[in-house]
Order: sequence, then C-alpha cells, then structure tokens
Amino acid sequence: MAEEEKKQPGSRPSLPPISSSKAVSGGAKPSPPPLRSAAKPVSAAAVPTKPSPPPSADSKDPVSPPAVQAATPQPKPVPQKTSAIRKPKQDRPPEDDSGIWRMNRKNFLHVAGWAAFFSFLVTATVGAIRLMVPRVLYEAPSAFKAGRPEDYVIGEVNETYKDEYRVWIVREEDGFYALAAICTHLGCTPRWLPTEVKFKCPCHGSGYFKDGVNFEGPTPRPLERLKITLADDGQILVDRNIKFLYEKQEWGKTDAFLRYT
Amino acid sequence: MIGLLDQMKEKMRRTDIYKSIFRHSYEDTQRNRALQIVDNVFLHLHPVRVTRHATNVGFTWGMGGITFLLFIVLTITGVILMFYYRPAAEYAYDDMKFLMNDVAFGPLMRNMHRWGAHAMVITVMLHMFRVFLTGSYKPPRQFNWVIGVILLTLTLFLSFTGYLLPWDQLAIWAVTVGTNMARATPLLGHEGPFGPELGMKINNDVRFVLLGGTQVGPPTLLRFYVLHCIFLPLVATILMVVHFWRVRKDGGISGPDTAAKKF
Repeated sequence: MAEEEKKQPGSRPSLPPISSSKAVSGGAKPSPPPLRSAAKPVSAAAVPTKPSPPPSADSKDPVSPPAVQAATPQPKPVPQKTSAIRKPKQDRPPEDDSGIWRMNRKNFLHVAGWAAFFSFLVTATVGAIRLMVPRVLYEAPSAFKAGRPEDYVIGEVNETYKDEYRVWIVREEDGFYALAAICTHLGCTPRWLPTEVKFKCPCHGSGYFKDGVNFEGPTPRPLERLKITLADDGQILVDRNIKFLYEKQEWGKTDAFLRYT
Repeated sequence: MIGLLDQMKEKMRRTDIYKSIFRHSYEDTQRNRALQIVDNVFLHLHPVRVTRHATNVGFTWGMGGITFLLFIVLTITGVILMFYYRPAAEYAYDDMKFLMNDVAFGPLMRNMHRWGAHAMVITVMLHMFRVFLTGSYKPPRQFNWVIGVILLTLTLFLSFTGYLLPWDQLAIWAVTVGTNMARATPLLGHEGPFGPELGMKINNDVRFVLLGGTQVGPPTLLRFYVLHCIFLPLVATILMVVHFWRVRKDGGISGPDTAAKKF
C-alpha cells in the first residue's frame, strides 16, 4: 500500500512485491483502492485471518487503481499503518470474544432459540404424559359404611354387602374383620357355606377357612382382608382399596382388624 | 380404418388432463415396465425387478405379505364399523347389537373384522416362524427381527384393545384379568416388585393409566377405543414402513439361495 502512494498518478503500477513486510497486518493486499481501506480499518485487521488475494489479481487491472489514486488526496506516507482510521485496541474486544457471560450476541440468540424450542417440546411431552393420568374419577367411592357394630352377631359371617361391594364382614368375640369376596385364584366370587364353615369358590373349587386362610384347591394364598374402621357416626367403615395380605404378615396391622367388645 | 371409439380414445389420450394423470404410455417397452412400478406411489414399495427365487411361493408362503393384506382389510372394515359404533358404556353394546341385526351387511363387516383379526395373529406367527426357520434374522437383518417382534407385540395389543369394544361380559372380564396382570409390573405396578416403594398405589400406577380408573369402566372403553383405532395403527404403520424398507435394503425377499441371485 505504501509503495502505491509513492508512485506518480497515472503511471502503470509495477508488480508489487510478493511479501509486503511493510504492512502492519503482514498480508496486506498490494493495491487495494485507498478509499476502501480508509473507510474500513477493520478489513485491514481481518486480513491476517484470510488468505491474501494473489498479487497478480490487482496487477491485471491497471486502469482503476491509478484512477482511484488520482481521485483521492494523497495521504501522508505512513510506513506502519495501512489504514488511516483505527480504533485503539483497548476499546474493542477481540473477535469471537464470548465476554463475561460466556456468549456473545450471536451465540446468545442461537442458545435462546434452541432453548425455546426444547422448552416447548419438553413441556408438551410432559403435559401429554400427565394428561393421561386421570385426576377425577366417576367411580363409586371405595369406602362404604356398613351399619352399626351392635347389629352384628358374634361369630357370624355377614353377607349383606357381598352383592354390592363384594365384601364379607365377620364379627368375632374381640372385634371385626372384612374379607374381600374375590377368590385369590382367578378372581371369581366364592360362596360361604355356613353348615361346613368354609368359603368355597364355584369356579375351580378353592376352599378357605372362616378367617380366610386357604386350605384346599388351586388357590395359592388366603383371601385378602380390607381396611375396617369406625366412622365418625359410629358405623363400621370399610375401604375396599386398602388391602392386607396374610402372606405379607399384614393381618396384624391396625386397620386390618377392628377391636370391638 | 380406425373406428369411432378408437378415435375418441386417441383424442382423450392427447388431452392435458389425461396426460397429467397417466404420465407415460402403456406400450410394452422396458422403460414402461419399469415406470409402471417406479412411478406409482403404492406399487413402488416393490422393487422394479425381482430375483427368480422371489417368485418361489413355497419358500415364504407370502406370510408377511398376507399379514399386511389382513392389516389393510382390518383397517377398511374397522373404518366401516366406526360409522355405527359409539365408544360409550351406555351405547357400545347396543350399537353392536344394532349393527348385527338391523344394519345391511353389518354382520358381514363385523365378522370380517373379527375373523381378520384372528387370522392376522395366526399369519404373523407363521411369518415369524418362517423367518426363524430360514435364518432370515441373521446379520445384517438382526434389527429387522427386533422391529418384527415389536410389531408382533403391537398386533397382540391391538387384539386386546379391540376385544373390549363390544362391552359384553366376555370383553369386560378378559380385560379385567389382563389388566390385573399389569398391576404386578415391576416398578410401575402397585403390586409389583419395588412398586409400592416407589409410591405406586391403586390410583396412580400403570394399570390406573391403562384403565383410566381403578377398575374397568367407561374411561377404559374410551381409552381402548382410541388406542385401538388411532394410536396403535399409527405406530404399527410407522414400524411397518421401517420393516419393509429394511427388507428392500437388505436384499429383498428371502429365497433358497439368495447368494446366487438370478434375475
């Protein structure tokens, strides 16, 4: 660049040196139009990162550079700087500096865009899964009231609630327990045989004692006991959704047996 | 001397509308033979040329193709049945009775659907046996076998969900027994290993989500209907696309000696 300015205007430029060591940036173009370099100091700084154009390219065009050179006022030949105006280095961050937030504006928009996309996707997916789990049911409540304890006969298996709720309520000397009338073999409804004091399933012949323990047939385990408590008004309250299994030693738990004398 | 009919046909063939629908002529040239397949969106699933062993029906019995055909039949009859069925507890059984007694060709449609479903399960099993016995699962076809197993599971699940829809005793108890097995699922069922420890109860485990409640009821019917008609067919279609694509890419239909391919 400096060599060009020394030439007389109108003369054909000679072939520029192959390596212009005089340029600050080291790979400055041999004959860029001075206007352009004056207007954009950045391009001079950017040149080291880009391959410099072949020297021959500019020398093929003898017409314009002299014309441009003639049009512009001749700046003072400054050997070091190739561009006239350049901000001091401490006023600008280097290119691709990610700053204190570890991202520059371009990165931030990229990140924000993808974050928005994925947040929508995750919300939609989680929402769709949660939607499949019902919050409100229109079923009958699992708990029901079974009358007052005084109305039960000690030692008897009460079948009042067998048809509607599939529950037997048995009163012993020291309290109550509720048996689920669901055969633990494959789910049929057994029958209570008072003369033989046993429950017998009509489907495959499973047999249970009065307390629910299995003793014959294909059933693998005793009948299940249900949660039985006293409601606030003094009635017996049975909750069919809460079960107690003998084989898990749960019959000893509090709600499996209602103490009443 | 070209007759009047031929003249009219010629005129029609030169119209823009005709040329837009039928993109090439039908003279018997090699090019047209290839274009018949390649230019057709339905047929281009098939390769343009098949090897000689592909025509040997005795090797595969065409069981995979028959399964696909049954799937199409079930979809078509299923859509027709949808015109007369409401998936609500108060209507489902009566709609089925109405279809069987008071709808013209209703019994034919329903029975085609039912028998087609049974047949599809049978043919899909035969297809699976054939693939196994001919070693068509060996590398590089292992992944296609996996997709096939998933398709088998989907077929069985389609049968299960469809079984509930008549809402008769058979349906309700079959689904009750089936979903009672779901409550024993590990980690996800309220009676399975580690289920209760993870907070699974009768009203939030996988059986609850499947049934839409704690027992088989109206929400179950609706859920199974949507699964049966929309969700499972969609998933099955997508997997079938992959399954057929893989067959094409892995060298086409199996034959007695696929190494010596002769066209």
